[in-house]
Amino acid sequence: MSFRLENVNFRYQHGAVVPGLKKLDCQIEAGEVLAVLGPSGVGKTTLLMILGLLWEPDFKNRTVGNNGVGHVNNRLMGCIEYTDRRGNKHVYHELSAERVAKIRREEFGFAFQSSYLLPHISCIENVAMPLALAGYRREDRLDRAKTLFVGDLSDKTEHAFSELSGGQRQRVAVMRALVHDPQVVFADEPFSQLDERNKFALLATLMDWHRGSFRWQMPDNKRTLILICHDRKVAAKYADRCLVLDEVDAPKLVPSDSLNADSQGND
Amino acid sequence: MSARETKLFLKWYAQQDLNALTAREVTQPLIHSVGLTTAIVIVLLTLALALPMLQKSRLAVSPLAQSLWIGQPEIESQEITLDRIDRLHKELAKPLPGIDRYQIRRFHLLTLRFASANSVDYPLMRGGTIGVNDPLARRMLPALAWNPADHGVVATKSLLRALGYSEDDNGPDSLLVRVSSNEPVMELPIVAIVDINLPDSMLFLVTETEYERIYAEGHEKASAKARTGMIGHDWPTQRELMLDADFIAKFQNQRGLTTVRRQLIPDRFVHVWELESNVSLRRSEWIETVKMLRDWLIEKDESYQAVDEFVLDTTLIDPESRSIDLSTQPYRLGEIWVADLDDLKDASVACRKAGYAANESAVQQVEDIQKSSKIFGIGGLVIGLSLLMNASWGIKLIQELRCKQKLAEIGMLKAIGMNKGELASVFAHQATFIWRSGSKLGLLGSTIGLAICCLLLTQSWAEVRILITCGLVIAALTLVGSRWVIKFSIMKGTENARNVAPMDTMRTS
Repeated sequence: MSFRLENVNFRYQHGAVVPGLKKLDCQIEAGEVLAVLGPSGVGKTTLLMILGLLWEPDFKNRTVGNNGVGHVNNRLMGCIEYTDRRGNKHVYHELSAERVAKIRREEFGFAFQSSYLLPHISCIENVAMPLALAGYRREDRLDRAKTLFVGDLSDKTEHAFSELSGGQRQRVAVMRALVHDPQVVFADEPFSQLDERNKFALLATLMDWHRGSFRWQMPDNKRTLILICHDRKVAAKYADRCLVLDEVDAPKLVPSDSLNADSQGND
Repeated sequence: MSARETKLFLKWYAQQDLNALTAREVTQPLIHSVGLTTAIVIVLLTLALALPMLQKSRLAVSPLAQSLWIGQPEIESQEITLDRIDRLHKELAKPLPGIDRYQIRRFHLLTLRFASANSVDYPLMRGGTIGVNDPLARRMLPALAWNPADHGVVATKSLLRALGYSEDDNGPDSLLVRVSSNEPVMELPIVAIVDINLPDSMLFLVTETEYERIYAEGHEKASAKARTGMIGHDWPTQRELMLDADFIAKFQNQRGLTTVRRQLIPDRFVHVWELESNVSLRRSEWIETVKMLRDWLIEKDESYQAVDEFVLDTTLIDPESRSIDLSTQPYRLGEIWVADLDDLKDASVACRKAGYAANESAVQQVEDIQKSSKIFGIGGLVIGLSLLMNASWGIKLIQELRCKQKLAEIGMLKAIGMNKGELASVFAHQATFIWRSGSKLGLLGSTIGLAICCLLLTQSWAEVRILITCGLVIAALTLVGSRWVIKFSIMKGTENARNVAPMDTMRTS
């Protein structure tokens, strides 16, 4: 699944423009790992949520301007288009609410800064939730979810979320984003508060999914990972390209190799 | 993959969410509140519905509640003549079609002088006769109605009060009676004392047997006596028909003779049997055509067996010479009995149209009940609806508060693909659970409440049945209504949360 963003602007509710999202033009290719970099408050998470359709456009008040660009609630301007695995193109502001929910359920996976695990069900039920919504039988979904519980999590399937450490919770949350083998995973600094060991364990899980290493994954799937991170080393090591947002300058899309030199230079 | 699995999961998730420790703090009081409200609404509305019905059922079993009285002197009604009775029939038949919905009975009044316990005075009292198997007797004194051996006077409490007896006394066993100032005093045994609201002109009733005895002893008659009724109903009985036919035959055979051996009670002279179109066969008796035998005595067990001779006035042998058809004489009192209390008002209107002012105290009673029924109904409905609305508002607010706490969770559920409909179904499952649990408590509470009401308010098994039936109807309606109220409140309370964008919930949490 690829994305094309054209002249995208986004405003806060009080009217100010999100600084990093000014006339954003870029193309995100299917199968790539894109790291989104930039200082805090520049609009990285906002961009992720817009791309992930977590920003629900006001479907009733949707209008189309003279230049053919969708204007939704006057907050999101510009055009975002995605191409599905069959090559069909879809414009965001033309999607129905039902279609949005279906895309979120089947095509997208989300990992946030907080784990947002449900406290009243077990870890494995948390992980298997996207499969349940997709209509998988209970045995099947629990079997698949169990394959993700490896290492120190292997005996924690029936534990409650409160019985896990912060790092473990975050890994379980990432498992939930991957378990239904989505086309795109949006990861919003999922390891920002983790130690090195947990961070790399989590990144390893993400990269396993990206490579299609799990036995239940589709073989020819071009999986896209959009990852927000502050760590340039991580971005340089794992990402194919980086989108650098800046409060002053226009957003830049650069190859991750170029970050190596910067990060080494910075170090 | 199937939609059924998704539905099962949503149901399971909804239940897990309610079972969570944090949720219980909210749902348990909510369930208790729903239960309490349901119980109060059921008990309240049941009482609102049942109390007027209980009043009505109590009124219906009181003997004269279903009767209107016409022709009473104090109402200055018109005389009750047969042609007017026919008109009354026609007027009554319009709102009350069908032979079983009303009956008309007519009386010639009987006047006696009764002596009080402490006085030598004999105040004049009016009353009527009450015969064996008489519909009036059956309604007032069922045991007496079927016991021809009983003889005496049926006294009303108002008569005894008028004679100076206190409410606390059991009353006298007998009353001293003088038919007219020239007659000797006789003692009438009291066979029953009734506490009913008889019209003022009927302060006592003399049983048929006793009535015959009074005149058999030669006392002056206070007035003529006539009885009419529908053949095939309760009067005349087969036995009476047979005896009358026998007597007529004998009388006709003995025409011209000066003596006749009679087998009937002495003062009865049957001379008219006529067939009227809608009214059926009527019988009239005119007792003054026969001179009574002074020393006539009816033995207790031989009231219809006595055989004696008496002198017949030869001028009376020819019916045409002095025959007076009592059917042309006006009656003094009429009773219009209706099968259903609700028909009283229509019967009253029909009476007025036929030219009679009816005693409308019974109508007033029914109207009072109908009025109180409306007041109870509207009051109960208003209070019940207020309680339901209050509960609905409370549930909505609680849900809004709970959703605010769970906003991030709801946002996450939407982020992983739960759509608004699925989210709504989760809350709908929870609403059903809360309704079901609350209703169980409510039914338990209302059962206890209604059981207490049964103990305190009802006087018979029939009344208990009325209360139970009303309770069941109201409980069913309340449960159906409360289900929708709870579902509506919960869906309303979660509406904002269901519509909010995941981005807004997750960025703000």
